[in-house]
Amino acid sequence: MSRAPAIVSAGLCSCAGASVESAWNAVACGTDTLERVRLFESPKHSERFAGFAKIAALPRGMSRCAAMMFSAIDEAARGFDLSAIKGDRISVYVGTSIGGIFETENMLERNASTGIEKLSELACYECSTLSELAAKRTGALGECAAFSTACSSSSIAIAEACNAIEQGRCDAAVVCGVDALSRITLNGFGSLLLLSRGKCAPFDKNRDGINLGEAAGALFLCAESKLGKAKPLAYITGWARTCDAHHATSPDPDGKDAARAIREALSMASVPAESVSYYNAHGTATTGNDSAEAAALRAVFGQNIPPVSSIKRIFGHTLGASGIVNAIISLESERRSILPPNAGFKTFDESLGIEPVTCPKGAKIENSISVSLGFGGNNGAIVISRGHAKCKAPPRNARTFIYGCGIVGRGGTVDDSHLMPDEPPLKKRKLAHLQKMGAHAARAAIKMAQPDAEKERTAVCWGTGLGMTAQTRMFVENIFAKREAEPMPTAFTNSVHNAVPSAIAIREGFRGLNSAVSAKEISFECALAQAVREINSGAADAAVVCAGDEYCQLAADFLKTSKYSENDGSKLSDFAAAYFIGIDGAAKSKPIAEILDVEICRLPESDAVEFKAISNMLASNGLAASDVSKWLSLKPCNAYQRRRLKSLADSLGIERFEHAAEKYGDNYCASAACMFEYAEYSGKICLQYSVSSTSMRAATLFKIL
Amino acid sequence: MKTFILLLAAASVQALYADSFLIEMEKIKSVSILTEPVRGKCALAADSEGRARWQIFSPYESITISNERGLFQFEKNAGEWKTIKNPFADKIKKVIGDIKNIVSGKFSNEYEVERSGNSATLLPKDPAARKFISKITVKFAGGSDIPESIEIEEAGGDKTVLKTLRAQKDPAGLSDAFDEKNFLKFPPK
Repeated sequence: MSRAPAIVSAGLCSCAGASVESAWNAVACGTDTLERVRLFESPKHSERFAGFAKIAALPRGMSRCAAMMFSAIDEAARGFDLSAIKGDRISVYVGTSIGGIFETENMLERNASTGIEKLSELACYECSTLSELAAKRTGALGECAAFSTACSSSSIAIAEACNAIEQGRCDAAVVCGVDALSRITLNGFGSLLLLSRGKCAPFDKNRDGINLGEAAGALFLCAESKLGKAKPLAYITGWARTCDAHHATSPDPDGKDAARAIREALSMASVPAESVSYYNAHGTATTGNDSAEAAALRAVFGQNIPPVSSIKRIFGHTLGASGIVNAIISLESERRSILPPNAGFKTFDESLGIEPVTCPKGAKIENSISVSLGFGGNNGAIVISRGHAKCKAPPRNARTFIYGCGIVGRGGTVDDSHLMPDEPPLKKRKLAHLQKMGAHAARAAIKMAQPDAEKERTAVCWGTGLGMTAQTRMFVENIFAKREAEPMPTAFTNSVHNAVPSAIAIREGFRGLNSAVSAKEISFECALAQAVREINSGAADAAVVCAGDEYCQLAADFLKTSKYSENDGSKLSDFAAAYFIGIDGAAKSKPIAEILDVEICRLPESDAVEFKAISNMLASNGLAASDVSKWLSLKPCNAYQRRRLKSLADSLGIERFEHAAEKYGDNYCASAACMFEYAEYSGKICLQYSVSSTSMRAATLFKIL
Repeated sequence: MKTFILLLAAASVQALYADSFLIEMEKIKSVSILTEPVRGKCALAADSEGRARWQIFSPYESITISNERGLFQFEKNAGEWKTIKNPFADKIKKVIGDIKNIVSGKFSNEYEVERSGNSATLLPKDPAARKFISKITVKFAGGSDIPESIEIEEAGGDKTVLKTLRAQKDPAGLSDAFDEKNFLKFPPK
């Protein structure tokens, strides 16, 4: 048993107001916060109801997501002074489904109507922009990444922060979940016929779908040893993430993998099912979600289902923020000893067998569980406890090996016809270009590895800088061109960042953690670090780690606006690479490399500082610079950085420095090609050093076998 | 806005209590989105000078004080009380002023009052007020001038019932209730 990560502070900005208190008051008093859709013109959905965040200030140029997130972070910062912890020991994990898409939509609409190409709003587009902003706001200099797994995004982020703290990767973590209302989500859920005609009624017999909402939540988590005099509000004693591997949008109706997430989280927390005081449901009020969640509840709790409620009628479905909103309301319910009611519920549904809490009720709540279910069958469960602070999450310090690798794209664009040759055409045509690239690379890695790990203990961790840009642009432009008349449900389904890992999971049957992480030029390394942590936590024995980005017009436009474009002329390319990694015995084939370490932090551009950081990393692995046979850097490609990194390698005394971007084209994820550069270094130590355009540094040590 | 509505209710009570008073109440709020009403505890204190204090004990905690220096609101957050800036402070201040008018017998200027047996029904005359409140009904126990309950029917269909648990005229130390600088000094607990 170890000490669980402590929740030391929280902040929330939602349609109920810009504080945790106002959110709690709305939940406890049953305040009707949903309004008719506004913010943008919607010919088809103007009569729908949604929750609009009460944003105190929206400075020019700032995205709605950023404004909401800053509000939540600032509130949390008033509750805990992060400056007491060293900046490089504070990590940032943000969960968001669509990031700054609202501003990108505005840009596309304006550009289409005026014919003038103005791209300034694209600065908000990347999901990782939000994690970068959160890091700046809080002074965090540790790992910084955005997780985008649709509606489970912030639950995935919370769990990642807990893993990082438990494994000593950071002392504190800033975790945020945020999503703003947008045309793409309104029309997307509309195209899937999932929007309620009125106001949602979770678990009700007559439920007819969701109301969308927008919100940002922030939780500051801290290792207990670093609490100082701060008094924790509660502890996160259990967390688990699973995947249905069932369907791109619909949950498995049996809810068996959602049930597994709940069981695993409770097991980590050492909380027996009968000791759960409160279950804060995902409860979106769609027929499919509530039914699958009820099945999961029955599977875990049998006839003794704990008090259940969904808070979606108050906040709407806040998508990527919903996990953290649930966690914060669960925290408040424990602190105030009041069970939150399930607003909107009127009529018992025999087929569900769930009779939720119908009014605020006083109760001693020692352990609550919050659950999120997202597109791709993505499940996350978080146990929050005030009754105890222990959890069973000691790192097992397992050695992690690479068993197989696959790659798609070596500069330029990739022709779809060469991808997934074994896939039936009817299935293949439903997949978008980047999904095909990722799934193709993953299949090659799996084929080479010959996995021997249990599928439910095999994770899929995907890294991407820009995500599904082509599908996103197609869906949004179609909204404007057809005035919402002919939506494209498949393009919407394929527009989420986790469309690639969920496609891999569905094809391969992997039901462990399923994640998509975005961190600019170090997206691959963040996915690798996540997979290694998941394996080290004991939650998985193996993982497919892959990364990729696609060439398309939106991506090309984006490059015109970003620091990324400061290159020396290399061409934007399609690219994806994948690895099958795992503990000893996770695959039948002979391992090709061992992953010794992955370290990610923000460093100033200083040879001295970076020299020290790399030396320390090597030393912590019992190595010296002289042990490194090859230093590889695939990004960035501008000439200045290339010279600087060569100079740094020289000062470390590493003779074999190579910059390999030319081989793979200009792509956020080109660093994922690393293993294809080490083939001739059998028995040697190789170091990959990646530098992002926002001063993030990722150092990865491999021993080639 | 809830405070606004409830202070209007306070006005109706005050009409029956020309003196200083403290009433502790159970608040039962029926809202359309919950199948069962939300129950909480609250208290209203006022004096003949027009000062008032509205305190909510559950399901959340807040205190609103109106005195000669202005309107002050406090909420308990994370175990600590903090000051809240209310954008409706001016409107609430006006309502507090109305209390004084009502105490002075100007009750009918704001409401149409219908008295029947042991109850009085107040109908807001102002169309703006009617957007929020359709009717306030004050009921008395037989022979008592202490209101037994106050029902506030909102235009949207929600209803709040305030049931008197305990009432005191001229309670000791009442002036402390209106001191915003020392707002926790005053009982009730």
